[in-house]
Parts: sequence; C-alpha cells; structure tokens
Amino acid sequence: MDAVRSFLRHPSGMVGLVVLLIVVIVAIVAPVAFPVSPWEMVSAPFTPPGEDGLLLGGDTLGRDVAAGVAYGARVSLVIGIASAMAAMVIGVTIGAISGYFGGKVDLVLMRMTELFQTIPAFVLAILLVATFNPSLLTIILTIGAVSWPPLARLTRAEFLRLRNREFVEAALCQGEGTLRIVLGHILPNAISPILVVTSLTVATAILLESALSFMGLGDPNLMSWGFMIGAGRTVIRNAWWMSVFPGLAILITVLAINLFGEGLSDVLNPRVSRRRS
Amino acid sequence: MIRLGNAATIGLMALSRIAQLIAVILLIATFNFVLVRAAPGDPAQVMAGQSGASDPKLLEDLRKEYGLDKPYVVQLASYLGRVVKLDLGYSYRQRRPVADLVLERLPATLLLTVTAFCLALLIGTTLGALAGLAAGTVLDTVFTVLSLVLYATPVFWLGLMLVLVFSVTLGWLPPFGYETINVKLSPIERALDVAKHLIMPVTSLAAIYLAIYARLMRSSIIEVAQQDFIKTARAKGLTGPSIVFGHMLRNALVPVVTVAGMQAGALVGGAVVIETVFAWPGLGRLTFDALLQRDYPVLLGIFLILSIVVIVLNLLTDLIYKLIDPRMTTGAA
Amino acid sequence: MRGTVQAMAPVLSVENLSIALPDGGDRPFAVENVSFEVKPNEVVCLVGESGSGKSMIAHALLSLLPKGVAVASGTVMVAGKNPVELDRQALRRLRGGDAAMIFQEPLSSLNPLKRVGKQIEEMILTHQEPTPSASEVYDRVQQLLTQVGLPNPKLLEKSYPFELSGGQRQRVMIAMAMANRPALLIADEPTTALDVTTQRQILGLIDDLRRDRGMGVLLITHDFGVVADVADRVVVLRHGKVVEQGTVEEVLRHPKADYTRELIDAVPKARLDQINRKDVHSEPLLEVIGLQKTFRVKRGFLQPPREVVAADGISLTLHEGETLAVVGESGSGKSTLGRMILRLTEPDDGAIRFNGQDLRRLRGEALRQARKQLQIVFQDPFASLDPRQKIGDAIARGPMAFGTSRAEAMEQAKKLLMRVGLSAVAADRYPHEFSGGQRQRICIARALALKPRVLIADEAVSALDVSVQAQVLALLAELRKEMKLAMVFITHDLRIAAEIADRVIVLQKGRIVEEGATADVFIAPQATYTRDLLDAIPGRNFFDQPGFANETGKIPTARMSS
Repeated sequence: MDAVRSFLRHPSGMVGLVVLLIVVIVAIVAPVAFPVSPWEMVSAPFTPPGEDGLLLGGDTLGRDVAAGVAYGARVSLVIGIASAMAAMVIGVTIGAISGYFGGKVDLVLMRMTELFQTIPAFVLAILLVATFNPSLLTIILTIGAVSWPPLARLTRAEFLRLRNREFVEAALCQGEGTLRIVLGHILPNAISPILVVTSLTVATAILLESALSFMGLGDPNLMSWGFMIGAGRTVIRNAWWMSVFPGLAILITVLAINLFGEGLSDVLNPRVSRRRS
Repeated sequence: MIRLGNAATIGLMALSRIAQLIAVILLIATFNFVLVRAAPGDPAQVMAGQSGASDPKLLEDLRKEYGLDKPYVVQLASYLGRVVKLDLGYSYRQRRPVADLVLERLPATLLLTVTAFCLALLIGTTLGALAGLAAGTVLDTVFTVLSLVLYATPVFWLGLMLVLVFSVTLGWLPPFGYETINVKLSPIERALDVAKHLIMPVTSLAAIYLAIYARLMRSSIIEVAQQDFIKTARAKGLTGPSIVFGHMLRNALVPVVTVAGMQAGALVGGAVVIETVFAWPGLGRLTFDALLQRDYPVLLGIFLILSIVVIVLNLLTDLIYKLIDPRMTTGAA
Repeated sequence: MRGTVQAMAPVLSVENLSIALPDGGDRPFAVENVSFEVKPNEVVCLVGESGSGKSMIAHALLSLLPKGVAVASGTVMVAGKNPVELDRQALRRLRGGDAAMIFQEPLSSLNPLKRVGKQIEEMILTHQEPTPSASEVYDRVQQLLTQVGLPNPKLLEKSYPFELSGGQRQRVMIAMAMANRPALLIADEPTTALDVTTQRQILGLIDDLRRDRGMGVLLITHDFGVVADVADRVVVLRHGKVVEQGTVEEVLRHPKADYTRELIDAVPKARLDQINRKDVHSEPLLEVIGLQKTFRVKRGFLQPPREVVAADGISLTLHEGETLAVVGESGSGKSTLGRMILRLTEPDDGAIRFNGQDLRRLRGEALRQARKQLQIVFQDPFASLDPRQKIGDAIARGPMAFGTSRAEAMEQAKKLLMRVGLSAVAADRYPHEFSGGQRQRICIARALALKPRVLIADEAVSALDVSVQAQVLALLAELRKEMKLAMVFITHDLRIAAEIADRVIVLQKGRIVEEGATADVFIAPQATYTRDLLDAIPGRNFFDQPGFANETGKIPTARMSS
C-alpha cells in the first residue's frame, strides 16, 4: 500500500491517471451521451465545429465527429488493453521459459524474439490483418502478436537476474520445487517492471491500431479514431476538424497512459525506471 | 589472449551477419508461404486478388504455375528457389512482376527512412545530451515535456498537421508528392525540388524517433554522470567540456545506439504510413494501393523487402556499436 | 630536498570539519568537528566501520562531495589551499595537481572505452604548462607505468581497462595519480577490492612512492591490519566523530577509547592453542573425490572460448563436528567448490559422497532429501533473502517443504531467531528492516531450520564490518558445538580461517596446494603459495601472527548489537 500512497504523490503519474479516467468515462457514457449511432447522418455535410449543435463539427456525410471521438475511445481502449494483455501472456511465457531454463531453449527462443523484434512490426501487422480480414479479434491478436518481444526480453532478463540470486538458490537448497520457486520467488520479484512495460504496451497498441485503421484495416463495423483521420485526410483543406480532433484524442490518451506507466515505474521500481528511457 | 585486428574482426563479423541475413530472408519467405496457405480461401484465389478470383482461366494458370497440386514441401522449395532468384511473383492487378514494382519504389523509401533515421539520431542524441547535462533545469523540463508529447503523437496525424499548417494555411511547402511534375529542371534544381518535397515527410517521421532517442540519451547521460570514472575525471582536474566530450558522450551513446538498431523496424513501419499521407512514391504508398486492391503478391513482396532493409539498418548500427565499444570487438564483455 | 620548515608544514590540515547531510537523513551531519593533519612523507590512516564518514572526508578534500552534501563548517587546507574557497580554475589545478586521489573500485574508476595510456596522458596534458610535446608526454607515460611496476608498458599503454587485472588497474590509477607529482595522495580504500597478495603489493607501491617523493598519504581503510602495516599515524572515526588519534604504536598498542579496543579485538586472530584434534579414524561424513570443473566463457567471433579451471581434481573429507576452512584468492575456485557440493553448480567429473551415497548421481526427490542435510549461508546478506517474503516464512518454508505443519514450523522459526540473537517478533518483518549483520543471522537461522549436518559458509562474514564479523563468527562457533555441525568455511581471509577452522585447505587455480591442521598450516606452511598468502596478511608483523593468540584472542560472545 506504500506504492499506492507514493503514486498519489507522483505529480505526472497522477495527471496521467486522471486524464486516463476521463477517457474511460467518455468511453463508458458514449452510448448515453450520443444515443444516435456515430455512423448516422445528423447534419449537413462539412458542418464546422460549434454549428448545428455539433461541438466538434460534422464529416463529409454529416456524421457527428464528437460522437465518433467518444465511440472511438471504446475501440481504442478495448483494443489497447486486450492486445497488451495478449502480448504480456505471450511475452512473459516465452521470457520466463527462456530465462529460467537457459541453454539451447534460451538460444532458440531469443533468436526468434530478435527476429520478431527486427522485422517491421507494422508491415507484418498489415499483412496479418489483410490475410485474416479485419475484425476486432484479428486486430487484437495481430497487435498482440507483434508487440510481445520487448516483454519477452524484459521477462527473460529479470528471470536471469533473479534465477542466480542467493535467495532463489537458498529456496532450492531448502527443498522447494521448481514451480513454487518460479511462482513464489521469481515472478513476484519480476512482476513490477513487467506491469510497467505492459502498461506502456497499451499505449503503443493504441497507436498501432490507429495506424492500421488509418490504412483502412480497421474493423469496418467500429468507428475508430484512426479511421476518422483516414477519412478526413483527403478533405483536410475543407474540413480540418475531421482529422484534428480524433488525432488529439489519440495523442491525449497515449500521453496519459505513458505518464501513468512512468509514474508506476518510478513508484514500483526506481532502479529500472532510471535505466529505461 | 588472441586478438585479431579491429578491422579484421569487424570484417569477419560482417560476413557472419550476411550469412545470418540470408537465413532470415529464407525464414521470412517461408513465413510468407505459410501465410498464403493459412489465409481463408484457395491460395490461387488469394494470389489472384479480388478481381482476378472471378477469372477461372487465371486461377487455373496460377494453380499450374505454383504447382498447387503438389505436396507443400515441393511448393515451398520451389517458392524459396524463386525468392533466391529475386522472383517475387506476379501482380495480376498491375500486370507486372512484383520484384520490378517493389525495387522501383525502394529508392524513394530508402531516401525517406535513411534521412529521417540519421536526422533523428543526430538531433535526438544532441538534444538528449543537453537535457541530461542540464537535468532539473527549465530547459530539461521543456525538452522532457516536448519529447513526451511527440512520443504520444500518431506519426500519420503529425504529418497531416504539418500539411495543415505549412501547406494549407501558410502555403510554404508542397502538400504531397516526390517532385513537381511537368516542369523541366536542371539536376541541381531537381534535387532542391525533391528536398523541398522531402521536408515534411522526413520531419514527421524523424520527430517521433528524435523524441525516443532524446529521452534515452538524457537518461543515459544522467546515468553515466554518476559513474565512478566521472568522479575520477573530476579528481583529475579536467574541465567540464573535457569531461563531457572525453568521457561521457561515448559511454552514454552505447545504449542509445543499441536501441536505435532495434527501433529501425518501427521506423520503416512509420515510413509506410507517412508515405500514404504524403503520396510519397515509395513502398508505403505501394502498400496502401495494394491493400485497396487486395493485391496479395505485392504485399508479400513488400514485407520481404522491407524486412531486408531493416536487417541491413540493424547491421549498420551493430557495426557502429562495435566501433564505439572496444569490449565488443575483443569479445570480453 | 625541501627545507626543514617547509617539510614540517602539513600538506593537509583539517580543522573542525563538519559535513552536512541533506534533510531527512538518519543524521544531520556525516562528519562532525573532525581535525587532523598529514605531513609530508607521512602516511595517515583514517579508520572506521561503514557509516563512520571516512569516505566523506576524503571526498570533501577535493570538493567531490555528492549533490546535497556540503561542508557545513571548519576548514580544510590542501597544500595550503582551501578547496571550498578556490575558483573553478584553481580548484582544477588542485585536483590532480597538488593532490591526487584513487578509489576502491579500479575497474569502474577508469573510463571503460578509453585506452589507459590516453587516460594517463590526459592527466599530464591537463596540468602541465607549457603543454609538453607528444613525445615528452609519451615518455612520461612510459616512465610512470614502469614506476608503478607494470610489465611491458609499451603494450600496456594501448590496453583498455577491461583487459587488465584488478591489481594492474589499480596500478594504472596510481600511475595517473603520480603524473603531476602531487604533494598529497588520497587513497579511498584502495585495496579493499583486491586479493591479499595484490593488496600487499599495492600498499608496498604506495609506500615506496611516498618515500621517493616525500608526499603525504591519506589512506582510508576499515582494516586495522592495513593500518598496522603502513600508517605512521592513525585517526579512528565512529559515527562521524574522531574517537582517538595518535601514532600507530599509541593507538594500536595502547588504545585509550573502548571503541578502538573493541575494533582491535575484533580483528580475527588465530587461536591455535584451542584446536580440537578430531578422531580422524572415524568414517568421514562428507567425502569429495577428484572433483573437476572448467568454465568456458564464450568470447567474440572466431575466438576460442576462455577456459577457467575452477576445480582440478579436488579431494577432501569432512568429519562430524569438524570445521574445514577453504582458503584462496579470487579465481581459486573456492566458491565453486561449495556450490558443487550442494549441486548448485554441476561438476564435470568426480564424486561427492555424503552419508554413503554419491550426491552426483541423485536426481529429483532423492537430491531434495539429501540437500536437506547440507545447507549454505551466502556472502551477500542483501541478496540472500527474498525482499518480498517475511523473515518467519523464509525460515519456516524449509521444514514446511518437508512436511512440517505451518504452525510448528513457525514456532520453530521463532525459537531459531531467538537462538541467533534476534527477537521472535522479527518473524513478522521484512528483510529490508534489518542490518547486514542481522540478515546474516537470519540466513544462519534459515539454514539451521532443516537441522543440517553440514553447513557451508561461503564468505559468510566477508561483507560485514569487523565488529559484526566477530559476533557472527562467535555465533557460528557456538552453534557448531551445540548442533554437532560439520562446517565448510569458505573465505579469502586467512585470519578468519585461523580463528574458526580445525583444518585448512589452500586452493590456487582449482588445485589444493596445501592441506592440514590449522596450526600446522599457519606455523609451518609447506607450499610457497601458502607462505605468500600468510606473508600478505595485513598487520601480520604488528599483531605477531600467527602465534599471537593470547588472552586477547578470546572470542567475544554473540551479541544482538549487529
């Protein structure tokens, strides 16, 4: 509980948390605040912000940009969190096996991780989504599948560091089993940097999702920020608001998550946070 | 201890890296092969794309050409054989070999990514070093906030905002394209014209990586400043600048260069989106068009070629890394 | 030679120095009202345990205090100059010019990416005016490297720090410090990270250079042996205050302060009269036969792996209730030996017989059962306890893993905690609430919870201050008797080996060079290497080792004050 208290005293971390909570609230109340679907035409095309009761203006087909931004928050948060979780599951499993067992297993797994880290993740994501057709599930799995390498490397490094720590060897000498040692001694001591990097992965996942939808690879049934910017791109001379507002929404959300994640990092593991960027 | 000369060691390392490169290319090609088979639908239909799928004759030709009735192993072997000969298949939409399409677009992409990469690394590390040395001051705070904001900005949106400001509002720079068309220009004028078109795509792409490198360099400088050998340098009576240039910078650069290599893949990914925004005639733009037409052979070819580009960039940063840190060449880490 | 008047003027005088710590620390001052002097051609030792503020004083002399820490009052005069009052340029001339400094960790004190020759050159170029020519500088560097006794200076100059040994690195640091003929050398624990034989050489070098140049040396150390060997005068510090100062004879032979006496008593001493000769005919409890282990460290591309032989046919026996000390310098394979006995490191070849079975053939449950009777206490008390586990759990989990009920195991854990000199409430606390010495007691309790027959102590007291070290050693001696423990005591410190062991094995590069009863090994060493090690024991002549155990050699009883 010390951690919670010191987080509350972390200024930038708290700013991140508050902004993030606002985004979450917007996402939750979207259907109440905007009962009309964001796909519905509610005004004349190209309504500028503030006119016709549209706070953030209307798009080429007279759809409410504000409604789109609110509904987009749902998509971004769900995809961001779900794919970061997927990445964590893949990354921690691979990293833990690699770090604990070492040897040839480690060599093969780390070569694979390096390969995944070097190939252009975004291009691979495009290829995967294009192959399996864009839907919420394929997008989440794809982003998870290209985002796990940093988590695997981190987990491996932590496991390697802890595996030869004296307290782990003492536990071994005292007759504790492998599973108990991993779950009882290594993982609890490795978990905080993993949580920090996972929270930062949510941010990169949101950026990745927005880029995919911008390229026309979003779930066609869901209104997302990247899709809105993509749609506004060609008419930026006539309707700047169509691309400015969804972009700001992404910027603010990602910034908030990063601030939160860094605050978490400072509070949970001051040593690692100084090493990392 | 047996010590080969620096140059010889680096040469040998480069050779082993080239061998690795070939292995990786074959792996990615295999991955492509598996992906086509895993895709929903008949591989022939996948390869033909949306428009070609309705043409029974084309599908029949494809099946024959790719030997789709043969066992997978045979198919894979013949596919890899073609990849080695740089035969990346045929785009039925554009009616041209994929290799031609991709290689034709590669220079524009390289121009964009390499320029952005160098600028980001150069400016990012400089700003980061300044911020790190001035840690805790107003300057440092301004840099930190700026880099945090840039780091959270979607690259394509940043590009659009630049267009909005510098082309739509101010009219200073061309909003898109590689060069002004339908004008006759001398080679120098042409280079300047391309450079002018390059400014915004490069800026938007570099800005984000600049932020990453700056943040890294900042923390790296702060960490190095706490090392014992900096205390030694101070105890030797060295001046501030000789401590910074003689002892801190090189040590601080080591982790930044490592990460720069790992970020090369992301940078190339960013270029794909940025090219879409600025209609830059490179592989990104080609990707966007191929996506619209579901031109699958082209997508596979782009993935393969861009992976190679990233691996080469990685190789370069690796060599820089080994030049900076003597512990790497003699191998006693 | 300088005139007598000048020679008598101190090169360093510290008067009523107080150094303030940042707010919110455990005390307001790191150092309070400290006064002492260093005259030319004199070695003054600043001695104290961790937290005594001795290093802070050293850093204050060259204005190298960390951020937030500052001289609060008093004056420091280094070669007639007050570093606090100097402008930047004059301060730089003082640092490395009039006074030079060397540190504890020579590896981290040298820039890892710069050739050592360049680092020495830099020292010359910064200070000498007019700037000497390139060839002059080169000659000077070569001369310095030769003076500090480095072999092949031409080749060495081009080396990077990672290519040198610890002793060579410290020599490079000294060469650098000597570059501008400083009047004062400040040496902050310069030999703490080095092996005894290297320590002896480095101390000898510093002393020679002092004599040649007539410079003053301020040596910071925690080791009274080092003090006895090199100091002319000594200043004893405790919690930032001077407890006592005077000549070595005065302070070491006739200490006035109780604290000084305690520290001197705590220096481990051989108690060769008390050796209990075992009945060697009984069956050995543990028998190691022909153990082999070679580590292969991969190096760069196309280079053969570096091979380090950690065990080259090691054989030994251990009887019930016996304490065997394994002594050696770094790289001798002593720790690897302990780890191999527990199968934490797999030997390449050989056998480990315990209780009639070969441990090397055991797998799974059988190994678990065998390990129960062999426990270990590690060197680093901070890495030895899981930071997220309560002390009680740490001790109880062993018995629980072997089927003891939680309640019973906890009850037993509390008893053990009391036995090692802690209170039972410690069971509900986390490791970070304890000091190094207390943690080591906890680790001993944890190891004993399984009622082992063999305890391996791997440098178990090396990380502790001398006074705490003496208490933990005393505790181990008591427990050994009580529980009829056989002990393998791995240490680099021959004094400790002499104090605690019945028998001694001397290891060098994975080979046993000498083996025998402690008294025999210490009084009549057979191997040259053993003799070198014995000669290198700091303070040996002064404390009259090894036979000096007399009434002062009594073991202090275990106390809770650690």
